Amino acid sequence: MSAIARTAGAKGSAGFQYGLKLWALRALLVAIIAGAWSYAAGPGGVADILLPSIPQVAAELGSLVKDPVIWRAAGLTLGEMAIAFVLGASLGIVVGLWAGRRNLRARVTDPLLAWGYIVPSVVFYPLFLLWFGLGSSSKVLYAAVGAFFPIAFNTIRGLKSVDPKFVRLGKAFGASKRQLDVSIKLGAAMPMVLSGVRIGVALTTIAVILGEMLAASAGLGFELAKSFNVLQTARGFAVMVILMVLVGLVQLVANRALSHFRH
Amino acid sequence: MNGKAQSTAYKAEPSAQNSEQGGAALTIKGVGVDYSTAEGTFTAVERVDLDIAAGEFVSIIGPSGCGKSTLLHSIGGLIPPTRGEVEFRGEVIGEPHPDRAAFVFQDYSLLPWKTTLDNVALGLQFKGVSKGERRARARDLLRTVRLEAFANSYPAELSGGMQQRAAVVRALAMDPDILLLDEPFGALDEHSRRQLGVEMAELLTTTGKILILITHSLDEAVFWGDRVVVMGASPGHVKEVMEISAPRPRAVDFMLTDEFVDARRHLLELSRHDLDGEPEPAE
Amino acid sequence: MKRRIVMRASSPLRTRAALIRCVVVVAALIVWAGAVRLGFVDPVFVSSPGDVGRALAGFTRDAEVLSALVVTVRTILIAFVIGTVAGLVVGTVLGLSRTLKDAYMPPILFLLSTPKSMFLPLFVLSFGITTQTAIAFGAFTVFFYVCVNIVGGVELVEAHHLRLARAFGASRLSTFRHVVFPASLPGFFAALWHGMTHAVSSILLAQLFVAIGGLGTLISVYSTSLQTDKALALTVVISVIAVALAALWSITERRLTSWRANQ
Ligand SMILES: Nc1ncnc2c1ncn2[C@@H]1O[C@H](COP(=O)(O)OP(=O)(O)OP(=O)(O)O)[C@@H](O)[C@H]1O
Ligand SMILES: [Mg+2]
Repeated sequence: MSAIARTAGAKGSAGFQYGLKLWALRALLVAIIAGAWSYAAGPGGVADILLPSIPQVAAELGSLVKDPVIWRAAGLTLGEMAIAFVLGASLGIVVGLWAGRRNLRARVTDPLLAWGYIVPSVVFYPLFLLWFGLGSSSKVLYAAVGAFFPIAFNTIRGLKSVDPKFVRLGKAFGASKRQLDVSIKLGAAMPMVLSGVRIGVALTTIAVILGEMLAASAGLGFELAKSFNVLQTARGFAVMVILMVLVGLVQLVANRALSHFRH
Repeated sequence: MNGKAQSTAYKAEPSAQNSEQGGAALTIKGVGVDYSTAEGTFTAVERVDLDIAAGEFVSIIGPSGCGKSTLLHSIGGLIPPTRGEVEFRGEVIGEPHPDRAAFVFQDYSLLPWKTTLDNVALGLQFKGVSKGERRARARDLLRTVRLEAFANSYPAELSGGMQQRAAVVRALAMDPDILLLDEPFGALDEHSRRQLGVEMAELLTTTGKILILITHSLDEAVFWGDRVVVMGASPGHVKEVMEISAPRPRAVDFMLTDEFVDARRHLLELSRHDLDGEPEPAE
Repeated sequence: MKRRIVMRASSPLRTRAALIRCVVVVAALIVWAGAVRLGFVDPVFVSSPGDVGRALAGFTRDAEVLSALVVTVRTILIAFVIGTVAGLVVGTVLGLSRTLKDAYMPPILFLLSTPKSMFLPLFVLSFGITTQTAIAFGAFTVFFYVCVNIVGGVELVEAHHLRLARAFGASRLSTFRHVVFPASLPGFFAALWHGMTHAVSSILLAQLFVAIGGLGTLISVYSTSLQTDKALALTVVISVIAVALAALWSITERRLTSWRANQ
């Protein structure tokens, strides 16, 4: 996930006309996709259950947002994400702090956490189902584990790479061992910790939705998979739209919350 | 406390005569520091003896890498000396104690994630002073260096000179007996360092504290110092201690007096000799 | 810098850490075995180290597992190649044109951050319960990671080196050879790495989601039929392969980049 690169900024300098051009280009792409879609669903003769028309999806979306079932499903999905994130992140930070305090501990745990982060976690989900059942707990725990590794790993890395001059400063100004940990080392490690948390948020949403899609009895992911399974394709598309909006909102909220910390 | 401090003898032996009150307050007794490096032990400071009286202003000059910062860190208890010891009022300085000796580091070392205000209040925070009180005190101090408008800015938003002033008042906030200043004006251009120096002078020298200033500027060393300690390199040692007898505080006119000019010339000759004679350790 | 502080006894510390790590892993295995032996946990659900070991040994003669492994590896490679080629082309085009990049990178970055599993039902709809579903879904996922990293790599070239090359009056060909090509290599490597890891996880996911054969399907079969030892043994195999590949990759990358530094 560290692949997420930053787009070049400096849009302000480019001016209004440039902005128009960008939107025109985007509109063009959307038009091409919508055109191809409409053609395939209409004159192209692709069956409704494979590719519903755009108006059909829009109508389905309109009725879904009024449907309490969907709201309940969304509430469940969000709740699972929140609990999983809180569990995984707090454990990750605690373990990271504990291990990062001592050189030896950091060296012992660092590779273990890296491995936990590298292995494709999907293959463990069936085991979570086996151990914790079809309900929410399997999703929550699976997602919590997913969030745990990058956060713990980044916390340790952050603590390891604290500039010694900050530690020296803390000592010179009379910091106790605890104060050195909390005010100096954790402060200096914060950018790394936060980037771990950001990855953790992304992995939590991914894991919860995945878990619900693979095996569940409720939640938006479940609704999505079910709709497609019973060939209510238009409904499936509509749930997909809702999920994307939801994920976008979660990320927005997370980024807002995280930007309250300095760095 | 701006009277001339009782001068101490050059290359003072750690003598009995001035170790009691009225004599040296800070005694540096045969201090040496070794670093362990990849190539074995490296002696950064070989041996330094120095007695410093209360209220005295000592400048330290010497070529880059001769162990000035190392010596200063030892005096403040940050680096335990490998040999010898540092005593303040008869007590051995074993570990850093910001009430006793506060640092202004060569690289400022403001914490980038804290506001200027909280950076200045850092030592008070560690001491357990309540948030309201320490912020009020930090704000007062920032006012004395005209930084009150930047109290809530982060260090990255300050100029080098502003960061330097913040670092100085952060040390002053501890109200220490000893102020250890490591090239506080080092990163500034000639003009601003002179201006800052004049501003800081009042703040620093009217407090009755012991001041130890590392500087690369001979002018600065002579202008401020009751004594100028000249260090030599490889390994670090004291080459000469020079007394500047003119009373402090000194007006800018002091720079035109014979004493200033002579002292400066002498130091210049010493450092030129330094350049010819003693090769600096290769980088 | 001539002198560096010695991390005192640096290599003994590393061996000590590795030793402790082994002790921790062995202790965990012993606790697991003990808990099963003493009846604290049900071996049907958690199996035991001995059984998992036997299952692992059995895999070497198990035609089902071996052919699933072959299918999975082949599928991963095909998806990786398709996704990488597409990502390379689009990434280079976007990277070289600022307008296109500004227009299309934000939506691509958003899609990158959404859980890709959401789109899996679409692929099932289009390709049915066949390996092509996995290939298409894998290639789709790989595409995003490769594209974004390539754009990032090309961006680096622009920022740091082109101006320098121009300032020194380099010809177009030598600019490419000595500036663009070497400078975009890190982005290229990152693209390959992220492409590969996501090819692995998306193919396994697809095989878990739809029973099209391969290791993913096999894990799901084993765990639902309570052959926990085999399910765990498979996760061990996959984890070990993933960790080994990551180690191999980081060594290779270091080699390649040091070659670059020597040029
Ligand atoms: N932590 C360290 N480990 C090993 N060697 C060190 C360490 N810190 C400093 N040194 C070495 O000790 C010598 C003295 O360093 P020091 O920082 O005290 O010099 P300085 O006189 O303050 O130089 P400058 O004027 O450039 O600040 C240098 O040769 C330096 O390389
Ligand atoms: Mg220095």
